Amino acid sequence: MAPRSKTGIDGIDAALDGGVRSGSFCIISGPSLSGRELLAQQFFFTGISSEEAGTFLTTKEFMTDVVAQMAERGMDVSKFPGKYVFVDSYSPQSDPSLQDTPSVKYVASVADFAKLSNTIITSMTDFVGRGVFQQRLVVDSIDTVLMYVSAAGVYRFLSYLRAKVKGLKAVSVLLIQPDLHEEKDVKTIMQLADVLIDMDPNSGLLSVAQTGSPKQIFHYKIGEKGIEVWKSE
Amino acid sequence: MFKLGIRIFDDKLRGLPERSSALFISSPGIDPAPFAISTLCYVARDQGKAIYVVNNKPPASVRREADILGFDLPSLERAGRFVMVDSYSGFSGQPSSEKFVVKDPSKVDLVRETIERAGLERAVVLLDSMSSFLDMHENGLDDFLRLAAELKGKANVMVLFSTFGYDPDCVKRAKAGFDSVLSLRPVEEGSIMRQFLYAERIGKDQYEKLAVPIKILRPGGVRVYFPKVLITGPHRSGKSTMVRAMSTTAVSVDRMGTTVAMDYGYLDYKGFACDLYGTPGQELFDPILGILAEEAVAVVLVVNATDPRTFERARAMLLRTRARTMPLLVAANYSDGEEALPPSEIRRLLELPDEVPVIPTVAIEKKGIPELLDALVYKLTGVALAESRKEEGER
Repeated sequence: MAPRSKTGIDGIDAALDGGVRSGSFCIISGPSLSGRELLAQQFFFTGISSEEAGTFLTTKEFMTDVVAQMAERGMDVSKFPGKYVFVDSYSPQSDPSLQDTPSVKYVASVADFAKLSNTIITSMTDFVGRGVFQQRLVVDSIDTVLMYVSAAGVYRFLSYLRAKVKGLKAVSVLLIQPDLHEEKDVKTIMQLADVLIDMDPNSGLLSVAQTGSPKQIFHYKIGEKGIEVWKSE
Repeated sequence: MFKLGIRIFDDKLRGLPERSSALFISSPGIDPAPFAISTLCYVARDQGKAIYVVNNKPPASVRREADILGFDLPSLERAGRFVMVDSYSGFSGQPSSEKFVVKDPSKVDLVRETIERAGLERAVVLLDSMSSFLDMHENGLDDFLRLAAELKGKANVMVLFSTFGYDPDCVKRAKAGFDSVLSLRPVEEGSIMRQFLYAERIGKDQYEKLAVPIKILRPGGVRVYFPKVLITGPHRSGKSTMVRAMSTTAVSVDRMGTTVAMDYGYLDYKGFACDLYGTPGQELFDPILGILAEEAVAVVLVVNATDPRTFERARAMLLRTRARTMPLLVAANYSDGEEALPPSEIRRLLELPDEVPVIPTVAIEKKGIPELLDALVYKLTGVALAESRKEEGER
């Protein structure tokens, strides 16, 4: 069986035969306040707090805010220096003078795919160069990119990123809020998913679909330490 | 012709034709902006006026990158030699404090008019980027090609194009729309990515094998870059001193004054950059010579010109490093000694062909080092720096 990367949420890992298969491109979809970001943060932290490395792209929040949100849930990334890189394409909009550090790389615009992909792939290949072969990538989120760039353009960019991630045997998670976009644009992006996790806060249901496996449905809630899921009786 | 500030390209091609358009294609994963900024700063500093039209990031980020690359962009802007045209703010909805702003970047006529207001006389206009324009405006290729064609009648035009999975027909049409096509491509070796700049077509001339390895230095800009030049030779021939003399910066791993691991130096010279690796000279380190020589692109053999008894050892080291299979030079060190042999005698004793340069040096005094570096660059690239050095001296 291919190596698995645990999401950090037991029920989801069980539904995926132990975790997300190495090389998978995973999309988490859901409306505002569904808990998508939290699930992605748990996924990221589970990786860097084990043997893996992680790259986290933030497009709609300051990376400092993401780090603070994670710390509030007991996910203190500062305990794992050298195992993660944040690619922040939001903060430079308010402060263009921000300077890169070993753990934070700034990209001035999400529309600059050349710089964005270069920064992400450089981060991931650097980890490989340091002997860390299992790693994960979080893209939080693609919504901002779709605001600026056509769905076809985003699809081309993500296709490249997906191929590189697969080549590195890494696991990636991409967040999308479907109700912000045209249905056909969302479908275009969804074509790329190997694993699809959909979160509906109104019904409290979370579904996990993976190529070649039946869809599994869980109840979920946002607990003190993050997303918790369980099956109906 | 206008030059790009990239040795070999400028030396061999003499630059790009005046009043023409050039497409710079980059593979996904390569950020072409540092390359473009370096080239434009070179143009602004030495040749004329540079106009940077940016549609995919705030102009402030271009200035910031220029600063990291070590260019004094504020001075060039104050002198009117570097002009920024903001075609991003109008698209992103952010306010702009730039002098030249395109209010609606989707309308190429507005883009052209704004660029023209910046003044096109003796200008090189860089459009960064066509791919971002196509990503924002599906079916925008014809509009963009028209923009480039209209501008090239009045200025030199350079366009960046990152090929993120575009339809092959789109790429083919894009290439056909420009007078010259150059491409930045990666060569991946494990986790290390090297970049090469290829000339595909310059005007009517097609090229198949003209590729230049490049590296972006921060600070420094674009350099033609060779990752490994080996400096080898017998014990006490002066290799460590030679590495230091040839290098911009250098470190040595030695014990009691003798190299026990290797010397390392970094050379930044007249638009070229390379890493220099000096080997130990003692026979007990022979097992690692082959390993140190792996992936070397050239070898400099250092010999003591006053001591031909060591030449047999030098010949043995040439075999161990497989130096005769790659560009090879000989530094005849201690050539100021009374008993120093002339280069022709050293060549004969080492059984070297005429095309291997034997250059007299005194490494500790840096005598002969410029000649050695010029010969090294010529061996690696075919670019004769010695002639330009002579011309510079004459001026």
